[in-house]
Amino acid sequence: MSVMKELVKGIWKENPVLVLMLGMCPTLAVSSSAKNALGMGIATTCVLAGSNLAISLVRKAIPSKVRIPCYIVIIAVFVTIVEMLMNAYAPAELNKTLGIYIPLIVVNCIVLGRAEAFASKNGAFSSLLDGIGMGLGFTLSLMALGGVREFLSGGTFFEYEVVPGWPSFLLFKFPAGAFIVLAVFLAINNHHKIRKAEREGTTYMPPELNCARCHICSDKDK
Amino acid sequence: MKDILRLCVSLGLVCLVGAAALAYVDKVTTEPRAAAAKATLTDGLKLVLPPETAAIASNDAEDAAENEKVIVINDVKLYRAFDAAGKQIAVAAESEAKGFGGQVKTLTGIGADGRIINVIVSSHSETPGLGSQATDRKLKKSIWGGGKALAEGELPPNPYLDGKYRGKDAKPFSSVDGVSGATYSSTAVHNAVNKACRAYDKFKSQAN
Repeated sequence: MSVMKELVKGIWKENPVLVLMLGMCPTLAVSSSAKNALGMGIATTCVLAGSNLAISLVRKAIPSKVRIPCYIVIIAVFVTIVEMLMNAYAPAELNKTLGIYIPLIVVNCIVLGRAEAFASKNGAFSSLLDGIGMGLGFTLSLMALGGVREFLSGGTFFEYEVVPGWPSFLLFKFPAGAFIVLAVFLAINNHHKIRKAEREGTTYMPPELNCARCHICSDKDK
Repeated sequence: MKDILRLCVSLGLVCLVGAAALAYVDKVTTEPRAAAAKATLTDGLKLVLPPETAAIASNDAEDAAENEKVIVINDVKLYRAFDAAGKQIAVAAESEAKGFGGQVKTLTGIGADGRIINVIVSSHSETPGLGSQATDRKLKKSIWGGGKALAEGELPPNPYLDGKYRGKDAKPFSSVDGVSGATYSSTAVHNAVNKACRAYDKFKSQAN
């Protein structure tokens, strides 16, 4: 696979939120505004790139039967180190804005998902690129969700008022609104894919049904 | 049997290396982290204490025992602020309570008249966008210009922190009117401020 392909696939073709449906918990909780989405996205991208790199470096030393606990330990160590380093050396303003997202990464299954599905089978460099690409895809889809939700709930974008006098619509600020907006996004995405398949004269198969992208099942026999 | 041993050893090794890395980073960053926390505290004290405060009481905030300006009552740190003439004009109380994602730390500034000047949340791990509605202060901005800039020393607004506490008597608050969607976080702020008020009461009765 070419370098660009590893990087770009996470942004659209295998977007973690809209296609792989990974990391739904932080997606629904933190996409209440574009600024929150950006902060969570940057923090996740850093951890994802680092943990992917670390795991692909040690992938041959870890027996496959205990790989999941090993990955969890590595990811937890990585998140804690990032948190301590940010507390110590990051400018106070940056630490204040980004610091609150770090504890949330622990519950982010994109990190473990990519470790299992990609980093444990590929070289260090492509794992790093995969991590960065997936992180960017996560950030972009989170920001799209956050932007729409923030605008609908208060008429603002990045905390700047866009439409003065927009009625406050609290539903979109809460997780219920996140489900609605996410569902609309997924519906648009699926509609687009079905139309594309129809134009090509084939039937659209959702990626989770043909198992082509996921390697978890094939590992059971090892 | 041999297999189990191998698995134990490799998982144990990963944990050991991880723990060693954590211990190392913890040791290296202890001092910078303490310095950063102290800087945050100094900034916070400037925000909740009146502007005429001559020397902020936090010069040696970390070492409470050595500094008569800092008093600890029931785990609440009270920072006393004096004006240029040496008269005590305000007290800032640092207290904490458990929120949804961890400890919520508040700084409560209490004036000489026993009224709360300002409440800020100095650190928390609440969910951004939900719990943080009860803790974070932010300025309303508009792309169409307008909106007023902050005056020197003025805090960005937070309807919950300002509406419930600013200008009120520093007595424990009974009602728990919180932010919808952020009940845990509002309760944490409520509990922390109440702790501060109780400590302030005790401090006053000791002083008299």
